[in-house]
Amino acid sequence: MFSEMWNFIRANFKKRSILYAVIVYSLTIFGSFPTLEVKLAFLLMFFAASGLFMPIYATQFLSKLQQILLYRKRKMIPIPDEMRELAERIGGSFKELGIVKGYNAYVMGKTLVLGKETLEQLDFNQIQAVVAHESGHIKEKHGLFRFVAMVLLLLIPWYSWSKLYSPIFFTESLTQIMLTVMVSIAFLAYMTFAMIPVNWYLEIRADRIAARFVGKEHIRSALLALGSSQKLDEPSEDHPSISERLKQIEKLKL
Amino acid sequence: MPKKIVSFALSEKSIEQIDKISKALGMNRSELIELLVNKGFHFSEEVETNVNKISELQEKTKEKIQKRRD
Repeated sequence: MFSEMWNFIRANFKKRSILYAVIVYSLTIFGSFPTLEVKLAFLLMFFAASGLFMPIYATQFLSKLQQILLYRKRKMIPIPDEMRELAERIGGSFKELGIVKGYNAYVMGKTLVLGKETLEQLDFNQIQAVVAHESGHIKEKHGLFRFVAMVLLLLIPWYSWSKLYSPIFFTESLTQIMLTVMVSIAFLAYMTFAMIPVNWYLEIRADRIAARFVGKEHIRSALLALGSSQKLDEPSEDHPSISERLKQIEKLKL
Repeated sequence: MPKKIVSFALSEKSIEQIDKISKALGMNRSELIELLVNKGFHFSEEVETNVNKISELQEKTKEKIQKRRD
């Protein structure tokens, strides 16, 4: 039953978002509401939601970890002239080009990492569109932007959850441990939820840069080719849906 | 033609040696560069010359292996 529920939530972005909100609000209400019965009800709600959230978070964490592990195993190859020229024109030059298996494309520091499957699947112009998108991330220092946004967003719960209070469960130290665990889980849920608009905004900006330099049609066809195996309307915590990205590219006036 | 399975053991040194040689030959890298060249990308002359040399070496190695099998 639990695995069925998890599959149901994992497959749907809206339901995952509700889950993040439930965790954050149930902890806030638990820690600030004076009535004991209400506190207990929200405590139960918090743990039920956390039980579903933790495997989802673990999957996302493993995916990030996979990026780092793949990066360490990357095959370095010289940068083709066309890619170098395009990145220089954009103003987001990369120092290295690494090829990995099992991932589309990402930037790690000043290294552009491309998936072998992506190279095999896409044609010249589509690959250039992917390179332009990633160069856009480098040009506007999106990694740094993300980090600053994360620190600023952390200040909100840091301040509001410092005033939480809880009834004593069994012993004071046990209650302290329980609260620490609860706040940590809620922090993870809050950050996942709060970073969604930031991540989406940065992806749309990188798409726009790519569209300006390689043309709308190439970034559009690259997105459709890479998204052919997934639902076009389904967003993720890191990326807006392909259909939304296509819509935003369409709106762009070149 | 009936096929036989032949198994043999290699010392760790030999495996390391083979690994070093294959890395020095840049087999995987040259394949990736070839893939990009086939897609229409260009590399500096030095890189393309090296890739061509590696491809030739690969072909020769394949031929040698084929001859030994025959």
